[in-house]
Formats: sequence, C-alpha cells, structure tokens
Amino acid sequence: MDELAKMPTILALNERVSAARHEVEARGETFYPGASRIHLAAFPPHERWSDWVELESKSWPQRRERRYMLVPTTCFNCESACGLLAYVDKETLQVRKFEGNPEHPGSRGRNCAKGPATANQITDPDRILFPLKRAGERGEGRWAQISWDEALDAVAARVRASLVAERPNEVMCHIGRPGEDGFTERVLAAWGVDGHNSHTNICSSGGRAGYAYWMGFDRPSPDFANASVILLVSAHLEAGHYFNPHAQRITEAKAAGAKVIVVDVRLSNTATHADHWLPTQPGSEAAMLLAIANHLIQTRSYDREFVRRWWNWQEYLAHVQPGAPPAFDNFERVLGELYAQYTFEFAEAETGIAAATLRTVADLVASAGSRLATHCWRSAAAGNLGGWQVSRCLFFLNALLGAVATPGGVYPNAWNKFVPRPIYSPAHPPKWNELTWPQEYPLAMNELSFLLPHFLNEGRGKIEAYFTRVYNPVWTNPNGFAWIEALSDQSKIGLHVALTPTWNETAFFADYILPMGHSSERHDLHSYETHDAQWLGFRQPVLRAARERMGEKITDTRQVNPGQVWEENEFWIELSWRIDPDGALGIRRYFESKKQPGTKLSVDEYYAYIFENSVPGLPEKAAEAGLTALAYMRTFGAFEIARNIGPLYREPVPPQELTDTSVGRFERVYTSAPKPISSNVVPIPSPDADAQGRRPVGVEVDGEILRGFPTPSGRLEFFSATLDAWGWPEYAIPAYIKSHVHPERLAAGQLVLVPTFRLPTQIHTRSANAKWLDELAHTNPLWIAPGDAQRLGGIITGDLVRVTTDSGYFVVKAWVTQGIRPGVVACSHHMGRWKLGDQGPRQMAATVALEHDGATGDQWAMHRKAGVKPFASSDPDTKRIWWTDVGVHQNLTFPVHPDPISGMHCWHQAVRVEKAQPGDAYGDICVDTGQAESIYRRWLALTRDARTHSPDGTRRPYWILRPLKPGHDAFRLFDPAPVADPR
Amino acid sequence: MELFRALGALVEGADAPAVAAALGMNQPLDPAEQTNLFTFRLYPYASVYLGPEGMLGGEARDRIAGFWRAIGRTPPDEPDHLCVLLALYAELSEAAERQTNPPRKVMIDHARRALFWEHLASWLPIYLAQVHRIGTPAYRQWGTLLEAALLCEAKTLGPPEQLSLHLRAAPSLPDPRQVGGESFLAALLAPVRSGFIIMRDDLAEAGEALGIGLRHGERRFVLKAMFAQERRELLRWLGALARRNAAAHANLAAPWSDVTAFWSGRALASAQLFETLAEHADPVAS
Repeated sequence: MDELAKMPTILALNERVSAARHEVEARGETFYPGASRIHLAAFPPHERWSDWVELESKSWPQRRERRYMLVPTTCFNCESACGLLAYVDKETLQVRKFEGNPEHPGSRGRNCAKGPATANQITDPDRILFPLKRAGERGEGRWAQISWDEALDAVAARVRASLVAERPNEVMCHIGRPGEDGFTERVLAAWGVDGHNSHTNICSSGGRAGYAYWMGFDRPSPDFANASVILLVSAHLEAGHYFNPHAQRITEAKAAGAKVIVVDVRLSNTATHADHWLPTQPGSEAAMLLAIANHLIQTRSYDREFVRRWWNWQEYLAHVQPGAPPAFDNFERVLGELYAQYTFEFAEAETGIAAATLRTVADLVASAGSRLATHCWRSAAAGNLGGWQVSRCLFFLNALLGAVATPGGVYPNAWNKFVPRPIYSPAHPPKWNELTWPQEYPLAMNELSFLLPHFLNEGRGKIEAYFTRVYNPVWTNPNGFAWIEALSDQSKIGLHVALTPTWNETAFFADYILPMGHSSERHDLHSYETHDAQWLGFRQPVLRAARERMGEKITDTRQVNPGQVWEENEFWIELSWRIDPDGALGIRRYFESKKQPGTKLSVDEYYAYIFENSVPGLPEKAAEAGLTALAYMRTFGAFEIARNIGPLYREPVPPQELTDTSVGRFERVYTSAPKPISSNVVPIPSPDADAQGRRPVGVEVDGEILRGFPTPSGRLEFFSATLDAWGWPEYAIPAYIKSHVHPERLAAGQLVLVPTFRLPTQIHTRSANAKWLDELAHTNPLWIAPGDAQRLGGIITGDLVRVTTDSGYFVVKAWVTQGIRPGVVACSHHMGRWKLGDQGPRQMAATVALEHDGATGDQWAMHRKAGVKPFASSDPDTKRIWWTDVGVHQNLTFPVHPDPISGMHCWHQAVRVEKAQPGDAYGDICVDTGQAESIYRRWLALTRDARTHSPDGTRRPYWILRPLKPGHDAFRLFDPAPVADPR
Repeated sequence: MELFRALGALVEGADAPAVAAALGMNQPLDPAEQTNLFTFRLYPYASVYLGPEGMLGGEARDRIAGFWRAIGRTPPDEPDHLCVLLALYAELSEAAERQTNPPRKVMIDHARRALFWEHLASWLPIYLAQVHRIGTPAYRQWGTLLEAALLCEAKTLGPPEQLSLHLRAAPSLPDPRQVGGESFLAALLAPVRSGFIIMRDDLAEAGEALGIGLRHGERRFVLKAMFAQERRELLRWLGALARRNAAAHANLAAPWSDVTAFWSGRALASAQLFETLAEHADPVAS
C-alpha cells in the first residue's frame, strides 16, 4: 500500500475527522448523518434541495446529469398525510418523481406505493383538466367545457339564493378524503350552513364510538414503537389508513421483541407477520376481548390503582347500588361478577378460536402491562351491528392495564395532533340539519350520510346545492343505485357540483365538474396521530413553490397547475366572495385579507398567519434558518411542534384556572375561570357546565385536581351515563352485541361476506388513474375456503359464482384459498370501477350498460360490455395495459345497515354463494332498490328516537363531538319535564 | 474510532465533502461513481458475501442481527450494511475508551473484538481488494484508508481465536451433476461458497473474451444465458478466474492470513471443480 505511506497515521486521521465533525456541527451543518439514519442518508441532504443533481435514467448508459429542485408536499392518497418530496426538473419545470420527505416526523421519509404513484395521477391522460358543465340530461354523459367564471357565477347564484331565502339546510357539502383539518367546516360555518356531510358513517363511526364512550376522544393513538404487545383488530400493518406510519413503527417494535396479535378473518399480510393470528367468526370479536378482560379481572392482573383513580366506578356503583358505600373493593367484586360469564369456553363457542389459544393470548396481553398498544378503526367495528362495542371492549383492556397515555400504550389522538388556530373562526351555524342529523340517531358519531337517498325519498327535505368533494357515493356507499336515483332527480337535488381531480361514478351524475388538484397541486395542513408527538404537515402546489423560489410571483394556483386545475382553498374563497359580493350576508368578511381589508384573502396570507401565530416554535425555528415561517414550511414541508406529550390527564389544573370552583357528586370540578386560549384547536368533546354555568375543568383524584378526560365524569367512563340516559342502559358498560351476521341469525346455507378489506396499493376510488397501482392490483375475486368451495358444488379458482345479498346479487370469480376462515367469504374493496361510455378512467374502469325497469322503478341491472384494454394516449404505457379484468362493484348490492347507536353502516352481509347460473356473466349485478328500501326500514326500526328517549329534550348529547356544532338552542327538540340535577 | 463512522458515511452517499476533506481525500467523490460502485457492482452488505444464499438477508443477516441483540441493541433495518457495521464498531470502540468499570470494559472489548473478526474482517479484505481493482481513484483511496484502519485495529486486537462462524458454517460450491444447474448457479454467485466475488465486470470480460453474447439482466440470468451459449469455455474461464482470485487472496496482508486462507482455499477448490466440469462438459448446453 504505497498510498498508505503518504497518509497520516490512522490515529492522527481519526483525531482530524473528530475535529472536523465538531467544527462543522458547531456551524449547524450536517457532517454525516450517522448510521442510525442509514435509510434517510440515501435521501438528498436538505442543504442541497435547491439544486440536486441526479443522472438521467433514460439516458443510460450515457451519464447525463439533470438538476432538480426538491419541493416537499404531503401525500393525498390516504389520510396518513405522509411527506413527499417532489423532484422538480429545473429545465422543464415538471415533476419527474416523488419520494419520501425525510424531514416529516410521521412518515420519516418512507412511503407506501401510493405516494410515489402520485406521479401517475398528475400525468394521467384521462384526468379532468377543465371545468365542465353537463350538456344533456344528468347522467347522459355529454359535457361542455366552460370557464371558471361561468361555473363560479352559476354555483354561487344557487347557493346565494338558498341563503337569502333562509333555506340554509338546502346547501350541503359531502366530503370524502378530508383535506385540511376543519377548513370545509369553517367555510360552511361562514355561510351559516349546517351542511357538512362526511363519509365517516361508512368508515370509522363504529370505531370512534367505542373510544368516545370511554375517554371522550373518538380516536386512538397507539404508541406502537414502544409496545411490548400489539393487539390489532384490523389489518393496519398491511393496508389500513395508517399503513405506512404505523407499519414502520410496528416493525420497529417487532425488531425489539414485541409480540403481535392480529384478529382478522383473512390471512392478511398483517396476519402473516403476527405471532398470533386469530381468524374469529365475524362479529364475535367483542366476546373474545371480554374473555381476555375477564381473565385480567379474575387473575387480578390489572392495574388496580389506575382503575381506582381513573375509572368512573363510583358513578357506576351509585347507579347500580344506590345507597351502598362507594368502596372500591365493592366495585371490584361487582366487576368480577359482571364479566364472569365471558369464559374462554364461551369465547371459543362464539369466535371459533380454541379456548387454550385464547388463554395464551390473554396471558400475553396481561404480560404487556402498560405497554399494550391496541388498535381498531374499521374492520369489525365497521362490519357489524354493535361493532362499536368492539373498539370499546378493546380499549377496555388498555383501561384495565393502565396502558393509557403510557410509552407503548394508547393515547387519545387529540394529544398527538395539532390543528393550528386559523385566521378566522366563524361561529358555527344556528340551524340544525335534519337530513344529516336525524332524530332517530341522537348518538350517531357522524352524519347519516349514506341514508341521504332514503331521507330524500321520504320527503324529509331537498337539497338545492349539493357539493361532492373527492367523494364518490354512487360507488363507495351501499345501495349505489339509490344514489343514482337521487342524483338523477332534480326535484331532490337541484344542483350537483362534483369537485374532483378525476372522473368517478358520482361525477357522471353532476351538473358541474370542477377539477381539483392532486397532492402536489393544492394547499392543506395536516396533523395525525402517528406516535406520541404533535406535528404539522404542509401540502402545497409544488410547481408554485418551485417557481416562487425562482423569483416568480404566483397569485393563483391555476397559473402553475395543468390545464385549469385549481385548488380548493382558493376555490372556496372565490366562491364565497361571489356568494356575498358586497359583504351584506356577513360571509365575505371571513375571506378577506387582514392586512388589506376589503381585498381577497390570499393563501399566502392565510398560511403565513397560521404559521406565525398559531404554531408554537415554528417562527423561532424558521428564524434560525433565516426564513419566514411560511418559507420554512414551503422549504421543509413539516414541523414537529412537540414530542413526548405524555399523560396529560394526570397534569394538575393550574391555580389560575381554579376560580369560584364547584365539585360535582363524583368529584368533577367546575370553574368560572375562562378557558385559556390555545393555539391548538383540535376538536375536543365539551362536557356540560354545572347548573351555574361553570365549565368542567378537571377532576379531583385523591384530593388533587387533575386535568382528567373530556367526559361528563372527567374520568375514563367504564359506565356511560350518556348511553344509559339516552335509552340504551343495556349497553352502558362494555358489552357484547351479537352481530346481524351472527350464526344464529344466518339462514341455512348463508355465509358471511366480508366486503371491507383493503389492498395496500389502492385507495378507494381515488387511485384508479395510477398506472403503477393498477398494474399491481386490479381485480377482486371472492376468497372462499376449500371446504366451502367443495360443499358448494366443487367451486374451483376462476369459476364464476353468484353472490346473493338481501337486495340483489353480483357475479364474480372465485379464489379458493386456505387464507380465509371457513364459513366466511371476502371480496376486496377498491375494485369494480365502471363507466357508462367513453368518459372515465380507461385503465381501471369497465364499460357497462345500466338497465332500469321503469315500470316498478326498483329493478336495476348492470352488465359489463367491455373490460379495459390498451389505448394510445400521451402516456406510452397505456399501450402496454395487459389486464382486462377490473373486478366487480359489489357495494351496489348492499342495502344500508345503519347501526342504531353509532350510526355506522354495518358492512358485513349475509349471503348465499352458488355457482353462476346459465346466462350469468362476469360482472353482472342485479338489485331491487325497493327491497333495499324495506331493509332500511327494518334497521330504522331498531333506533331509539330522541323524541322519545332524550332525557333533556335535546336532539343529541351536547358534549359528544360533532364536526359542525350549532348552538345550544339548535340542540333543543322539546321542553323536557323538570328533573333533578343528576349531579 | 470516529474514522470508521466517517468512512461508513461515504458508503451511504458521495455528498459529504466535509467528510472527504477531513479524511484528506484529494480525489473528488462523484455520486454517479458512488452509485455505480455500491449499487450496481459491490453491494456493501455483509450478508451478500457471508451468506450461503449470496443475497441480501438470509442466515448471515440473521446472525448479524443476533449479534446486535446480544449486545443489547435493536438491530436496524439493515443490520449488515457496511456503514452500520462500521458505525457500530466506532461506537463500541468509543464506549470501551469511556468505560471505567473494568468488568464492563472487558465485555465491551469482547463485543468489539467479536464484531471485528466475525462480521467485518471475515469479508472486508476480499471486498476491498475488489474495490481496489475496479473503483475510481477516489474510491480506491477510500478502500485504502479503510483497509489501513482495519489493519491498525487487527494489530490492536490480535488474531482471532477461531475462524468466523460465517466462514466455518458456509457450505462449499456444490457439484452441478449432483444438485442440478439452478442450485449450482445460485451457489456460484455466493462468494462464501465459491471463494470469490463475481461482478458484472467479470461477466462482461468473459463475454468479450469468449465472444459470447451478454444478455441484460441480473447476474444469475446473465450467467445462465452464457452457459447456454458456451458451457465448456465458460467453465474454463471461470476456473482461471477462480485461480487468479485464490492467488490474490493469498497475497493479502499478513494479519488477514486466517481469513484469506479460507477464501483462497475455497477459490482453489472451485477452480478445480470448474476444470473438472469443463473436461466433461458439452460445448453448448442442451
């Protein structure tokens, strides 16, 4: 080694390297990232994001350099809000690719397949680039390109007419993928409209309700990375909404020795990573969880001190044993009796999982102590009548073990989320909208969105202006033909405006289609619970940011987006101005500049205000980098506000908040001190004030006033006085509700269809224009166990089978697999996209014919005319489409199943499966919407109406979360008989 | 030894001018060369060279992950990446220096020594020799520095008590007449079984030397296509390559003698197998 001789000695070199590192790092620069960041080290260091050089892959083997500007944004393909880095070619000013943003605290530079596939979505040859107005009848498929001005004026006029005529409830905005936290709600609040309609009751209401009745907060934030046992009643490691941020943390925990238990009828990718896979009978999950709870109780494996201090056991004892001494020992005895029936043998009979296996799993759960991370979001909670008790029974385990807001336990989501206070906060609307919040469902977690066609049929109201925003109810909701009927009837829906980046089945039935941007073409702020921290992610039009870095002044995102694609923020501001051009309606003031009153609020001012005033630490961090707060977020795309939030419920209430206090019967503490203004406006439940109007501020625990939980009692509510008072005393504590698909309720020969499982590479109907994703996953065969396949006439993989639900049938291919529990069949979500003619996504939508029997009006059929095929377009890859099959749209054949308490649509179906009949063809669908209507009425009859069950004459418990929350007056339904103060 | 961490950083990316300057590297580091070397030609993962599969992951990576766990660390996602291993070595060296409790110091020294001889020195001499052969001047300089640092440590630590378990446990190259062509091909690309590293450069050289077509694809696919065209000559050429490698291994620095004896012996055995096979082979595969 001659070269070595010329070098300093190794030890001297080592010292020189150390000195160099200290010197570089003292300047605040990156010397080298260190091996713990090996993956991120593969990312360009942020110091070079303005001018990053890579070799042009298409020039290989020539080595031609290309220079990029790396601009962060936030993925829009699921709700995780992972960070993306757009590689903007400095020569062409086009986005060449998307990779992960290593500066993002939630995703940490990692993405699933859906993130990089944003590149497909923005270059999709079938995307909608211009505002369109229908040229024929609704659904006829004839469109004319119009200007934004024409569209805005027409839509604004219709909305204004409703508002001026004091018919605000005829304006409704139906949201699919949430954009910026609270943005649309604030727009509607500014208009004075209780017209927010979400997709949540077909999504997560069941899961939310179970958490809300425990801790007030309706969403969990499991600290997976630090858990010793992870119990998932879902497939989140594989394909859930939090697939990427959660999966990477579950993987970390596994590497550190954590055990994973997965409850899923399918051998999902998640289940294959589990130490214990429990393919329970669908709907029996709560029985299993209660058996585990019973085991913890009977073996005294629970955290007694935590239960004593933090459960509302005194309130429960007072309820069931009025007059008896409120002794904890007494409660423990009662607790033991309450759940003694949930033996492992009972659970075996319900779930089909051996008692010995359940015992092993229960011991494992017990071993976790406060490091038990659990999660249930959709899955069983979204599939079954009473599914909301699944998440409630799951959190029961955390509540028993004290694994609440502990490292490795489960936090309330609001503590791990930051929603900055916006520039304006209009008061919520004064009027109650019965179309979304009907009296039959006073406890529904969210709007009864999927019942809208039924309500319109019943004449409960009409809609003058209906916006669908990145939402596709015709395809996504159950009973889609009823949606087609409603959207086709202008006496029910006067105007339908579809705000969407892509064609979809609902947009076909719109009056106006207004093109909205994908994740690299719009602004939004996001914050989600991924770990025990609070972070804020910024979505931005990356070409706008890139061109501004190059010195241009961009005043409207349409200047940089393709065609005339816009973003929603600027759209809603502009539309609001046109609804109230002179400010007389009191709307315009919420969309005006503060710096220059009387002029339009710009997105730059809007975000600059938020970043400078509402995000603690951001202005300082930006100043360190020599940037404004807005420039910092445009440069880095994310900011971590705080980490290691910890157990906020145990924090003492500061003395300045304890003025003129009163203490309720169960140690709830109320105060007259005003609530401190917080820059974090994340929605938090608002328990009622005391009789003198003092607000609840904390709870007295062993003589100390601590912050507690936002529940009526201030503690974790083992016993829900709310459920008890509103007509559901039998479910006031965690309980097992037998599902509508419980074996006792199945007719002979019926199987359970699980139609909800998702694929990690698709996202609802949003990703049909992403060619990489379509190539990976494009069909949805029916999973069927070998024994069932044999019993049903020797079905083999690829055979056509007819699946008959209560209101129709669909014909699909079979996939015989041992990866599913016998007696259950499953068909994945996302697939079965369709279009009626030429318009629509050609990579992933079959062309179909619709038949509607005009005589009865109830009979609908769909037949597939053609699958997909290669086609010439601006993207040469569309000539390489090799698949023809895009699956079957099963949701059309599902009648609505609204859970009478949570309001959740219960997705599972009792079905018959048989070999296809002569004449059946792949993709055939037949539905009787009249039959679907009668099933709706059957489920409606299960409800306990506010008119007959409200304990206080209100429409709904005021304390429970509601996206838009009208004032107390709007809650009033009737004047109740005087009652004693329950406290 | 912070030096190891710095040298590891250059495996991760070429964009570290401050590191290169601190190391006194007078040749510019080029990202394209970095990619070419570490992404396409000499993958910087111990499992590729020490695993009987010759691929990322597998038994060798499990064994290395086990080492991380044994010393109370959570294995990173890629516990056998050269950068990670060098950083761990640096950390253990620094921990040993800081440690004042004698029993704990002994434990840390033991871990450091095990990491060095089991998971670093068991393959890096062979690997760095190839870097020296095909790398650009800058990366040759990097390789020289790393080898010098490793030799310095070898001197400090003294020779290993026994050969690395990776090497002791590795099966040799199988006879295709017994295991079939596919298994043979797979083993051929596992350096610990064949005794030498076959790079894309080698295959290109063989194609040129033998006048046979080089199909695009991963190395196994390329080799299979070459065997289909000219089996006998290719076996002879591989025999010569193995012998060249055996000789080169034997000539590596003295502190590596235990390790290089293994690699050299294995390459020689492979050479003999190739030559035997060539004698009995049809010129073109059926």
